[in-house]
Amino acid sequence: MRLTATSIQLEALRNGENGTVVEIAAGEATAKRLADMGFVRGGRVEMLRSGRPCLVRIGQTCIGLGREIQKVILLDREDLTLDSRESD
Amino acid sequence: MGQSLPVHTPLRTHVVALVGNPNTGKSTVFAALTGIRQHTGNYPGVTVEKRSATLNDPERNLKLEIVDLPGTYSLSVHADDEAIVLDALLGSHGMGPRPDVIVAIVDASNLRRNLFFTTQVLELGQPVVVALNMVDIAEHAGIAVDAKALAKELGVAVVPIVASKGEGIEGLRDAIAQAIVGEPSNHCQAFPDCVCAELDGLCASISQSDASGSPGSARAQAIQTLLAPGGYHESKLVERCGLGFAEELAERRNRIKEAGESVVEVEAQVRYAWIDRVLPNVVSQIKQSRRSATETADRFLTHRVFGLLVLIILMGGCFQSIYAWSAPLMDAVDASFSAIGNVISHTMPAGALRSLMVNGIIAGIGSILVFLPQIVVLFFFLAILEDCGYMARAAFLLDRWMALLGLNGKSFFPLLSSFACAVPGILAARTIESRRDRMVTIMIAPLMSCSARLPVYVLLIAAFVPPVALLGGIINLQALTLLAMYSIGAVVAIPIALLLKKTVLKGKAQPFLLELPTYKWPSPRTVFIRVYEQGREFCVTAGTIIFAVTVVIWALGYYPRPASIAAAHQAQRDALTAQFESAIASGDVPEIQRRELRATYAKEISRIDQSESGAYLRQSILGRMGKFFEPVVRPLGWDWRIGTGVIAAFAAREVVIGTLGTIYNLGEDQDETSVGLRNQMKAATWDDGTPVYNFPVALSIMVFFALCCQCAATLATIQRETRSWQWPVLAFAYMTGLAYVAALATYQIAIRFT
Repeated sequence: MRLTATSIQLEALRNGENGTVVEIAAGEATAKRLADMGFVRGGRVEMLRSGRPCLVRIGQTCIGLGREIQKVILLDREDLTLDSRESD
Repeated sequence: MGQSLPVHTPLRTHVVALVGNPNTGKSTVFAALTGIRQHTGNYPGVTVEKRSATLNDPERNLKLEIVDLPGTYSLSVHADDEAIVLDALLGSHGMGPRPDVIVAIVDASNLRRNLFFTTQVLELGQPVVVALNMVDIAEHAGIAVDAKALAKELGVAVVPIVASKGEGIEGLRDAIAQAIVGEPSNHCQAFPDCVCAELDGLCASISQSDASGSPGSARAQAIQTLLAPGGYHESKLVERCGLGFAEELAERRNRIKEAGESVVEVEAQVRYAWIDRVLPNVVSQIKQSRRSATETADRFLTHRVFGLLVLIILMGGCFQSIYAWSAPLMDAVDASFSAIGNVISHTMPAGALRSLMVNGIIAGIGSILVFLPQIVVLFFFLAILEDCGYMARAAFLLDRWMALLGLNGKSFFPLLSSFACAVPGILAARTIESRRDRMVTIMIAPLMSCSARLPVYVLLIAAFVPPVALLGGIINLQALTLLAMYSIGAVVAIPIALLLKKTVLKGKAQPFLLELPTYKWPSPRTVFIRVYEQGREFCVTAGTIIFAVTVVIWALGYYPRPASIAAAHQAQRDALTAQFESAIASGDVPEIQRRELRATYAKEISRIDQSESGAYLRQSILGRMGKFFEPVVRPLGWDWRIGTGVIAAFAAREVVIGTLGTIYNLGEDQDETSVGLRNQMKAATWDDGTPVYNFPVALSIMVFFALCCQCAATLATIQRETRSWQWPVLAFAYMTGLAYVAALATYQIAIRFT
């Protein structure tokens, strides 16, 4: 798991947690593909089911993401929220 | 809008292109507009299916050609399938005419992401109609979309529809008719200044090299080239304009980076920012958002344990039904074709024409249609699973397991289907977007043990594998052999897939990224059309080939017909008849004895007939080929008769049993349970009197059949799906080679242990 001072990999989210995208640290092809699907800076991503592949929600879309992709989507470390539905 | 052009020739065919994200119900809209009058072809040079249909609309005095383009999330793409979308929309070289109207299909329940692509399409400078599909699902989820407000924001007509129920389709037709005579869309997103400057400069360069394009198309190409580094359009333009263009691109991108913008992200940022500004005016939450039914179902259905369990049960049920439902139909097809053959045998005079009719044509058509029930049932299940949205969940669940085999979650269904028949399996591989994964799947699909191999296993196992109990009676050797034959292809497929990916199908792995669409009830109409279409395709592609090859094999086994064989057998028959007539002629033979004599006579005559057809086959071209190849098949433990059967089986593996039946003078109507054939095979000996068949020989034949590509229909389907001869030739070569080597190893090892 790669952690920097301010960001955390999508992979590190637990079920129900969500965060804000700060960077897509991928090659140009993958970065463009992700950006066009809505993974842009400032977008909110919710982890529905962690694992490989994981299941996330972005906007109204549920998307399955392979391991490589989970590593390149970096979220704001300060801005993680635990979904209240899952907290009990 | 609605402004008529002064000169409008009413019956020119107007081209209407359907575009949209995946899972927006695009095919359903296509079907709702066109019915089942469509025809499929391919775009030149790529393996992408082109679906189109021509329809007359007398009400509006229009003739339309509707083209269904592949679903895509963006115009800037890296994959083959999606790459053709922009080319087709711009009417680039070889892609057919530029469409007169573009219909952008949008999922009302997922407007934000869908509008990204819509805004790209709106900038092409062509008339556009937005079809707002699945408004019922959106409402169910508590989302109301104001179509009028959306139309105002986008500047084009927006038609709410529910394509699966046919609602709103007339309105869509009206909007298309109006758009044909209407203005092109002039929607344009404002990029940051630094990006705009570079886009304008690039537009000029593109227009220079291609004067035919419209301003809108130059701008769209500029965006999809400049902002998608390493993408399809970049390589296309660099190829056309030379390396100077590549340098120009690099410089422009550098300037954008220096100005502090991200080349790959800026387009998404601009468009999503616009969408987020517009959406509040268009969408209202009519119900309190709660966890949707889809999400609740997915908590269970995508679970690593429960989800997989459901999947396994579901698949088991499907396959059980495929065999249970299609078995009576297959028997009926089989029986009716034998009956037709019989009728013809008894009504037509003997000779080449009758033999061609019965053993070539009727048998050929029968061998196609016998697989149709199974394939139709299989497609029926696949269409339901696909249409309700479950297929994506299955791919999600299986991805990590398929990844171990170097494959993709989406390869599972094509491979599973191939256990029934490789042809529908190869057709089902179309759903795999990554070309590399699709090619690997197509190449290993014929290794799965299809139902045509089963009769060969059954015959040989019953005759030559002793029913020895193993492991204290838990399993016997016969069942174990059958299981081994069923799994050998699938096991061998793993290293083959990995090898293909390291050699002829090199490339970078596509990262797994798959949308799980909202669950919905499958639409009977969509399911019906898909089953009909694929069933028809099977009959056309596989059917014509199986048919043609069956006729060729018939001819090889029929000719030449030397008069000496006929004369010798006729002499035997004449002698027998004379003997019978003299025996029966004397008046004092009691009735019981007469009946016995008659029965014996009939039996003897048919024995002579069978011996005659056996004699013909042995010296036919096919028989000679078998003898010619005997040295080649000798190390596998086979004699020329097995070789002949195997050669005949290269057209379609199931004919081997009939061919062996003829060689052993038993007539052609032998099946895997025939005791006669079993006994003849057991009795067959080499010249020195040792039996031909034994356990090692039976094993080597079965291994050969398990791995060999003895199916012309499969090869024809691979050719059709890949639009090249390279792949079917490779499939044939590697499978035949593999089968030979494996059968050789099996035999040589087995004789040392028995």
